[in-house]
Amino acid sequence: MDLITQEKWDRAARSFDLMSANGPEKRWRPAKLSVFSRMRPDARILFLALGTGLDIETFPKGCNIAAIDISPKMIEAARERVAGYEGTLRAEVMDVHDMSFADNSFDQVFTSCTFCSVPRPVEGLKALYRVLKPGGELHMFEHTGSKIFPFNVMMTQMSRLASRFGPELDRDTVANVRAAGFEVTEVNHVFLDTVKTIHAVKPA
Amino acid sequence: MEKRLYFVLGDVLANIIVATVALAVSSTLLGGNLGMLPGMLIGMFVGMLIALILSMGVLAPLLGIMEIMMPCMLGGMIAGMLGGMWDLSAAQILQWGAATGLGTLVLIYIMNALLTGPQQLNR
Repeated sequence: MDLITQEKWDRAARSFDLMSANGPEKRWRPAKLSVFSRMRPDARILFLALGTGLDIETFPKGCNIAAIDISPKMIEAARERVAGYEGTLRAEVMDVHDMSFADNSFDQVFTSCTFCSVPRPVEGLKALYRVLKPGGELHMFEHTGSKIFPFNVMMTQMSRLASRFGPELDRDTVANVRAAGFEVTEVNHVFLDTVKTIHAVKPA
Repeated sequence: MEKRLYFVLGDVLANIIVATVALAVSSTLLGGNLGMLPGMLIGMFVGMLIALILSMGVLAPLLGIMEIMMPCMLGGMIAGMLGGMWDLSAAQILQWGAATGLGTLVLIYIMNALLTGPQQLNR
């Protein structure tokens, strides 16, 4: 378990809903609904990172979901939302780098603003590759760096500050997904080239 | 393209406020005293700092993170540069601040309309 990352997100849990529950979540809700509508009731689903459970409202009913987060305080804050989900949703404290799930055990993996924060993103994505069944799907809602000047420079500079309290702002998550061995099938930009949905498969 | 009234009005107000405050602070602190180039560079830094504080500290929880931070940082940077180069009156600060904030937002909305949607994949 990466204790430094865990401690960072435990600290962030106190003010997470204050920062994210209104503006950011409402702004991103249509795109998140579109991504999570791909959850299938017949699939075994892994979701990360659960945070305080703000995404749960956008999950389709009746799915079978294992949700993980590195922060016990986030999971604790999510408890009520987890209990309110109309389906099977189990929340566990787990580090993506050190997951206890068996190889090839999930049909679908979903992430929500996760790989801006995983310290070693390619290794983390390789861990998702391990637990996905061959032919399994990876669906991500992520913010990334930009390739457009001056946003690329601004975000690289700001990332140095932001990463102390929360996420990094200059990740190339599409490239990281490919580097982990996935086949990227679809990328949709939601805001400029910095907020996007990424869809990929583990080759069968 | 954002069409929800709450967010469109919020974007307009946020960008005008951030650019005006950045212009006011930069013009008051620097106001052309340093010469054109140093004033522009330091003003740019001051403007970005003001934009960062206002957008992340106050506006992002209400209006969204990236959607507020990116136009406000750009508007703050430009407003800071202008304020660093010239000593402006209060009326000029209000006019130029509003124009900078709105102009930046329009630019971002146009860029957003061009960039969003499905992307061609380089396999």
